[in-house]
Amino acid sequence: MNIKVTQSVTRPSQMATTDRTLAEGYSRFVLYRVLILILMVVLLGVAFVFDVFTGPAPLSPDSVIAGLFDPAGLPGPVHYILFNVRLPYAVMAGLVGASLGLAGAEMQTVLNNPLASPFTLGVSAAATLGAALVLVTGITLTWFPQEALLPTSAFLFAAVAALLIHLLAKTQSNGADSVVLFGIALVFAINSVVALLQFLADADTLQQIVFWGMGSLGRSTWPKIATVAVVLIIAIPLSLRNVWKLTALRAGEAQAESLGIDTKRLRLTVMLRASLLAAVAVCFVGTIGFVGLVGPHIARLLLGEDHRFFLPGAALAGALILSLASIASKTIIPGMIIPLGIVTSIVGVPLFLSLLVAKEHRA
Amino acid sequence: MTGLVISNLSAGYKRRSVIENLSLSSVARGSMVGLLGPNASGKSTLLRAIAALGDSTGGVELNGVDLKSVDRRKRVEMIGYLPQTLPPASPLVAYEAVMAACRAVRALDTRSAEEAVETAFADLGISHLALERMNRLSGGQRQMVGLAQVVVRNPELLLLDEPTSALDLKWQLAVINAVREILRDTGAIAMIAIHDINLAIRTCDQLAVISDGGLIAFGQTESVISPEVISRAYGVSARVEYCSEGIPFVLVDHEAL
Repeated sequence: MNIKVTQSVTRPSQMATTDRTLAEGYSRFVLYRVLILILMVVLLGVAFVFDVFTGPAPLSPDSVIAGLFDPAGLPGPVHYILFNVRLPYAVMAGLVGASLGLAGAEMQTVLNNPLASPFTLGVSAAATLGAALVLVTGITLTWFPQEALLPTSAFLFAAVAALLIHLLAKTQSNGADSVVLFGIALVFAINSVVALLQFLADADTLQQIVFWGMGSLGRSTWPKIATVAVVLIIAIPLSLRNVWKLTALRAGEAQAESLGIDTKRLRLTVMLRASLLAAVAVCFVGTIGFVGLVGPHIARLLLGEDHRFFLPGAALAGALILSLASIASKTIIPGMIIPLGIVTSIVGVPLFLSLLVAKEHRA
Repeated sequence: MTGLVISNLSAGYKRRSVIENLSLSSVARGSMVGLLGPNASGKSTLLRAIAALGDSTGGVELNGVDLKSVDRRKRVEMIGYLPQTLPPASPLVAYEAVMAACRAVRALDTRSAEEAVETAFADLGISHLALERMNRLSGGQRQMVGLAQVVVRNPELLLLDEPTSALDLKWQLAVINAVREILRDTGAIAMIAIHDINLAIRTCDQLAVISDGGLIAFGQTESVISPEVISRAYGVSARVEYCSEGIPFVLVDHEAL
């Protein structure tokens, strides 16, 4: 009674084909992606070096290289510029970019939404609110170091936003979309409160809030850099532990569920981790919105969605965008450092569009 | 005992019961069971309950193993469930989608995983699709990749939720034939929710017809298909005719009075 279709579906395995032909074919994809990742690391290295050399005061490559090995041998001003301005800015740009890129990539995967990012979900906006509150109220705590008050407040507000998103995601049985909608609503609500604070603020404070909202590496210090670095170093292996599960999730949520993956739990843990990673990054540098959204898209265009490559790629793309933005912020108008949040879009959009167009062209 | 036995299985969503006390006597190894029934009759719920996705009560025994007593990892190795929705048109390479399915379920070293993935593509006759991106594949091709994600687990029971509903005739037959060959080679059991009664008659060994969460009929295909059963399940008046090759087919006349 059973019928048999005679065309198309044959069983090559029964024809004693040699094993691993597909694995060999696929290894070309792997090789290509590894090369892309290496290229991104090289570009990031080049951008980092340019970032260190770029600035109002000229630093010669010789003095920088000599200074890295023998800091005490540098003349005072050069030493100050190198270790207190250029290096911290350049390192912070890379670390914050990597954090936002990685956080955005994970958010986009678990929420199955290309618009998800720390910026669109309200984490960055909440950090701005935390910063604005400290600036407007002029609060001082005798038992707390004053310079740490603003980033701490920014972090706490960002963490609360992360927890709110986490709690909402928990109540939604399968509502990845509603999490994104909630994030967007949160952005509007927080922006209104920030606008109210700006309205109430005096001229100086208003300027500070606006400036903070534009994002800047100007507040980078080594302890802050160490904090971002430690959090990123903890987050990376935790992210990489889930690469197969996250890849399976991109092959369909229902399919992933059928593989025994607890998709709800995966979403919750990844969202919490990514949000906190982003919160730490933005609390020191202010609102830098674009990197967490577009870094992952650039990685996806170049590397696909196998998360073994996609996640490191998104972190590298984020770091590269922010490094390039840091260079641009110092060179667009000579003698002036434009806030980083403004420049990221100016650098990132052409990069993103050129990749999109190139992809269309290839297709 | 070998085969599949379902006893007093109940399942639903939150407070709404969809399947109630459903039992299926032994389904032999290597056989394909077609699951028929109108929309919202509980076909998907039944398949998900057997796969232990969501809450359920009752017993499911597969080849002598009580599935309720095995841990999650072992269960997803034994049972391959193909959801109703097609795999999305993502930028993933098909090979990666199947590799991810293999890695998420089976603790294999790289070489063994590569061989398992290779075999899954070869067994379904879609090795030529393995290095294509999912967003370049047709719906039918993506469904075959979804099936490869199931097959790569080497399951003893395949639960396929309307695997043919989004596919044209050629791909419907491709999917069904691929499953049949796997059953023949491995002795696995397949339970397939299906809307096309005639496709089910022509390809399944046994049919289970459910309506309102209860079993109306279960048995050998020809013994199950009758105008009464179709009328009870679907509320339509139908005839069972025979083609020139003696294969029965169902002709629906009109809504049952």
